[in-house]
Amino acid sequence: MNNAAIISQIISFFGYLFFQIFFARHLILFDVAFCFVYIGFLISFNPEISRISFLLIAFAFGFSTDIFYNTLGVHTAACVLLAYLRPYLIELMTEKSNRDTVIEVSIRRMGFVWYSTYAGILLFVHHFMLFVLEASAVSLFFITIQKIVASFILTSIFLIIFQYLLFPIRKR
Amino acid sequence: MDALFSFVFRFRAFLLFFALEIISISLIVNNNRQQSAVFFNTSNYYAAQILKASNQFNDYFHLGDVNRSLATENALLRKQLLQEKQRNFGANVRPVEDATIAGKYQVSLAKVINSTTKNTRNYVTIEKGTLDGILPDMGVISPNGVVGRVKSCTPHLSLVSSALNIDQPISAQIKSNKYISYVLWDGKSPQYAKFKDVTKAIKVVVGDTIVTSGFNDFFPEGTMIGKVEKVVDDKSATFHDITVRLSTDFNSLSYVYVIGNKLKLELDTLTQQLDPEKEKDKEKEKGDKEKKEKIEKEKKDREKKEKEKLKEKEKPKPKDSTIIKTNNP
Repeated sequence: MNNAAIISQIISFFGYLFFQIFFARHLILFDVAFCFVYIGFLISFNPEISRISFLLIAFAFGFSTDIFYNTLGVHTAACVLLAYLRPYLIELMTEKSNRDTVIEVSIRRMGFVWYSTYAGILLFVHHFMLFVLEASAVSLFFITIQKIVASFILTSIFLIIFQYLLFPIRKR
Repeated sequence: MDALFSFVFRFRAFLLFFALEIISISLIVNNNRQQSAVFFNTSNYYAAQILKASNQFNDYFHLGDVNRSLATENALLRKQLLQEKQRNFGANVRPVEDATIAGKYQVSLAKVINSTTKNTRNYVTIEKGTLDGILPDMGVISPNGVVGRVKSCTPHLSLVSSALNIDQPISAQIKSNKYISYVLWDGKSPQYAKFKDVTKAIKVVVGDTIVTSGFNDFFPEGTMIGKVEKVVDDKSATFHDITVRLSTDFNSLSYVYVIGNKLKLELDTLTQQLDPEKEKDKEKEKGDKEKKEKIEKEKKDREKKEKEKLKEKEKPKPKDSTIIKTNNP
């Protein structure tokens, strides 16, 4: 990662956090669909970063989100899990010969199908961990499942919109 | 030894992941406890500054001012009402003239800067803290009914764990027949909670009013909680399944009242003397005793100051009444 990449990652750290706290936090549909678009930061993070530093960044990112949600530890745990699984998922989904060519995780680079599968898996893992930890009660099983599915749909719509806004596909 | 190092190095990502998860889960467990002074939440000074900025987008500027003046007036009225209620309580037997009991509730107004309703444990952040005399475990009510209980305080802000919290029961009673049980949120809709453990021998009708009971030191007895919306009787169950429509609209909280009970410390010391289990704990915590005493001293000092303030406030009142009396004839 060169300096320009590091600076752009720092800006997107605060950008995603800002958007989440000021706007996405208030966007809850039908009492069950939450918008956790902030994990777009972790999903489309520069893949050249080492696993250790990515885990630490995810911890810091989840922790900062938790402060504003009053749920200390919940987002942190989900983000760290996402960060741990991500490198394995990228390895699994790219062929060995192409592995070095993954320099940007986005629709523009990797294609819609690849990106949506990849983001969908990570999103589901994140939301599952998040809501199970948040509920922490067996009696809330069905409402938790509802929340996971509804939030999954809402967040993925937002992630795709963000992709087209932040990484516009240029016409050749 | 080399093998150990190479093992650690090989699995360093997994070990770090494991350590970070352990940290987060211990944070969750610590945060879910009723009494926990955690600084990393919205009552944190810097977080609150950001939230305030975000909150200003929602507030119309002049509407806020009007609201504030109205709410301050309301706080005053509510305090007078509570004092009146305490005076009239048992008035048939003898008039209660003890000022400490009559004025045992202290009401202060606070602005809400953040509140959630959709989580399983919801919190309200208010813009008053220890410097304004707010302490953990004080009750918080809105003009319409119960809101919650102060969880932790910083000098300027407090975090209130709201009634919409699956871990926090509120001692409640049916207003008409004084049957005492508790209200607990079921984690589903922010408008409804459950009135639990009411035996089938008790008749509960839709529309019955549920109010706080006198068995807690947080809320004044008779504070509105809600009305019975639905009663479902399962043949196999021993209790009614009662759904209560909460009178507080948690989605549109803007100002709340924090109720301080000045006699709470005395109540606590009394119950501690009665409770043998807590005495055992005391023996264990002999080392902490000094700290506790210090805290209690501080509390007492604070109470003394408050009493003095109250006295100062109350002094001019009799003068006024005498003036009126002399003027009237």
